[in-house]
Amino acid sequence: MVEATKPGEKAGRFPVRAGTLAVLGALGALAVYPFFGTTYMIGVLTEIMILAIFALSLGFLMGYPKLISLGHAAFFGGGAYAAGIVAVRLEAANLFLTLVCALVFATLLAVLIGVLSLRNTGIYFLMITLALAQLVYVVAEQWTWLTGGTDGLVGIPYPELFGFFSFDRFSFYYLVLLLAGGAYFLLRLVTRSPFGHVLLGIGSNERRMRAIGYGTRVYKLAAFVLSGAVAGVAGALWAHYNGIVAPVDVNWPLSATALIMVIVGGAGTLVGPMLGAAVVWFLDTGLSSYTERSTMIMGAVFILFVFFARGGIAGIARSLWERFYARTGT
Amino acid sequence: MISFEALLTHLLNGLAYGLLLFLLAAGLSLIFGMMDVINLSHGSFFMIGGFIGIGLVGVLESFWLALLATVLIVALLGLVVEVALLRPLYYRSHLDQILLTFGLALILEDGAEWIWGTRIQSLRVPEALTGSVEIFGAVVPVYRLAVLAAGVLLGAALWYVLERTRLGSIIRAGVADREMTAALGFNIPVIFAGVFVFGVALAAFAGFMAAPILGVYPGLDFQVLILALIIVVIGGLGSLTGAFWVSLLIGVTQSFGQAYFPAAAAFILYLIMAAVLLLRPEGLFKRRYA
Amino acid sequence: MPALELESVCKRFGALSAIDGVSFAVEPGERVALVGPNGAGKTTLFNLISGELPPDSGTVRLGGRDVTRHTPEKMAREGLGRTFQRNSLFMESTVYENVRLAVQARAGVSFQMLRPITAYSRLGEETERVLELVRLSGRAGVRASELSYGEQRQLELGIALATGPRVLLLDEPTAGMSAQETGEMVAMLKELPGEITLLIVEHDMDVVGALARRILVLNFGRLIADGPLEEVRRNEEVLAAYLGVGEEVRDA
Repeated sequence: MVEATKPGEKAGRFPVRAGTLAVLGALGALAVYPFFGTTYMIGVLTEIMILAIFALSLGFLMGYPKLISLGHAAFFGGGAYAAGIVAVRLEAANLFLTLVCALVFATLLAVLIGVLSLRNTGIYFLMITLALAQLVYVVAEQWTWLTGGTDGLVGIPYPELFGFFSFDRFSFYYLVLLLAGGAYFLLRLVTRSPFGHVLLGIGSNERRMRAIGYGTRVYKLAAFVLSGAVAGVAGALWAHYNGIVAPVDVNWPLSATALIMVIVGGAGTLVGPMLGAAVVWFLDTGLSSYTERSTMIMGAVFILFVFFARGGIAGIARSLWERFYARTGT
Repeated sequence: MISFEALLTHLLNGLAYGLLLFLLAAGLSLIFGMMDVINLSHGSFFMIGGFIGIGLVGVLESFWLALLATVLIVALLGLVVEVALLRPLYYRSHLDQILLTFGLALILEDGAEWIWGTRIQSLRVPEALTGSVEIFGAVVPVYRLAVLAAGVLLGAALWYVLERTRLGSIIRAGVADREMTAALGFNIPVIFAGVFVFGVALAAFAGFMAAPILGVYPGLDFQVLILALIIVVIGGLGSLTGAFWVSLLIGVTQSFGQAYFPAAAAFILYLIMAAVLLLRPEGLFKRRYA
Repeated sequence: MPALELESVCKRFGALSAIDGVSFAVEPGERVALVGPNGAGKTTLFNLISGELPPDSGTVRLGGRDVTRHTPEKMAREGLGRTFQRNSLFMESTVYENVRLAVQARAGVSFQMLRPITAYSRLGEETERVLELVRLSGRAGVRASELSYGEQRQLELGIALATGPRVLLLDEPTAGMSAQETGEMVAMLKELPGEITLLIVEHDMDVVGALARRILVLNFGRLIADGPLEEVRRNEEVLAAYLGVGEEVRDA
């Protein structure tokens, strides 16, 4: 019954409580996993969670103000390089220092790219973000004495805390879990705030938003910068986890992968893109250790998604939930 | 010191490359303008055209016969793709189209790797087009000149059909206002299929002609796709005139860039795109066919 | 001082002169109808006033202030509201959210990121007041896309009203409505606070007669008549403009 929906709540949206419970359940499961899991799987999950933060940041941008960026690797890779340079060139792997530097650098980069690109809309926005991000890529590749050039910046250690605690594989897993959960809940808070509703309005009907008095570009810029900052933090974790940052971490295929993660997971939600990151990681990296033709399978799965899973994983979950809801009859 | 002859060589090479890119970009632009579909598998048809061409030249032992057969085979593949995959997707969101055509591109790339391997393969130029000629002292392979001629001829034919024929005016009207074309009673599914297949055929032709110059390998598809996307966007979506001039510009800059500043070639490309989109948020040429 | 004043406003599209030297002034609280045959430039004129299109020349003043070439958002903040001829809603959101977004536009909380919107009770109260005005209180939780067409027109008005405009431009508020829906819309518009200045584009002369005493007639981008309804109806140029185009004026 639509009329029964409380004012202010989305009619027919995925029930809030079910979504939150699912997320809390997943966080709980991830928190106890290392006590049973293999070292290899802990590494895999760490990698997926970092990519999930990255996909989350782009999903926020694509799902709310509906800005489709093909340059998000610039912020992820930018954050990774910032953290790596601090850790290797300044020999300061202090967690707060590397994270804050990555955050600040990605934020500044997002302000710059956002100011330059947000005049464009639709595919023009997509392409100018690509162009500007590729300029960042070229800098990363060419500025060899700082970035290590095509070989990348090697020897980035796990972070440490003021000399009295050094992260290892195990504790780093928890750090990433904490930040992934934190990023999710932060952005969830933002999407429910007055600001988040403005973003949703811009994504839905920007012309009307302007007609009722919103200077939409400032809001889009704020969302873009917030998204870039979160991507930068993910990048810093990526640098510590891999021990190396290379130009591939800023290159456009990574931006495209993030875009695909968001679509597969379901744009318009926050949980969706994070799950999308896991699915795409499995299809991309996981599958390749079982078969030579993993790329082909991945392509086929994407096509199947388009035809049989409208709205991505979040869309499937929603329709399953609605079916369940209809049967129990409330 | 860079000689005049070397400059001329690079210029002609760049123009030939640019014309090949134009054939690819023209299809992409028409498909986007007409059907509002961002076809990320467009570069794959270019690559497939090259691979099938190499195979067919070996079997048929005739460059020209192989060219014709390649274009027909890839066009048929395009028809299958349009009918089976794309048709249900018109009027769906761009995100769905991106996911579908990207998935298709992955399948085609991996399929090509499966069949033909990862090695760069090259196509032997037919006897009649081997060798070089001297133009103002510059040594230019005959084949490049043939590519130039073919590109100019096809471009002119394309312009003629779009500007001077009834079919062309229907297509232009469709790019300008899709709903209106449907309202006028034209058979939209047939026109869409026709435009898509034609665009794919152009891509295959370009891929075949490029094979002796660029070589063919898995990965070429995305490499040329990105270039074609850049051309279409800088030129202005749906504007073939824009795509034409920008293709030449990109072809020439790439040719000179790779010769003299290899490190900066990609940089220049993206710099041009960023600058154009900054100054003209909707591309250089206003939608000519729109 | 007039609430809205246009002075020799011109706009060309290539060779076509869409708006050609239009001047008029509307006093605060006045209700004025803008009529004219299709293609006369009424919506273009609205777009020029609301900042969606920049005029080529001329001046637009709002409450005595020069607002020519202001962006739409700046015009809205200056107290100008408008509705669109074709509904421009937030289709995926509920009726309540649609109106609340407009209320929020002038509440100064739009950069608040860390508290849920429901914590701002002022927004809720004001939203409910506006929903009452446009008679949509009972439909608050329904998604805009699921409303009937008439209800969508009401919501279109509600969004414009929620920004608290001093001057409101209504672009064919009853377009496409049934006779009954039209009657309800007219009643709703009549109940609007008297201090709101209304400029209404309308084809239905009954609606014009019910809402406005003064009428502006636009033809080929020029203002060909400006005066009380009865007077304008006898104007020969106006009759000529409508001959063969529409019968609204003579039938009325």
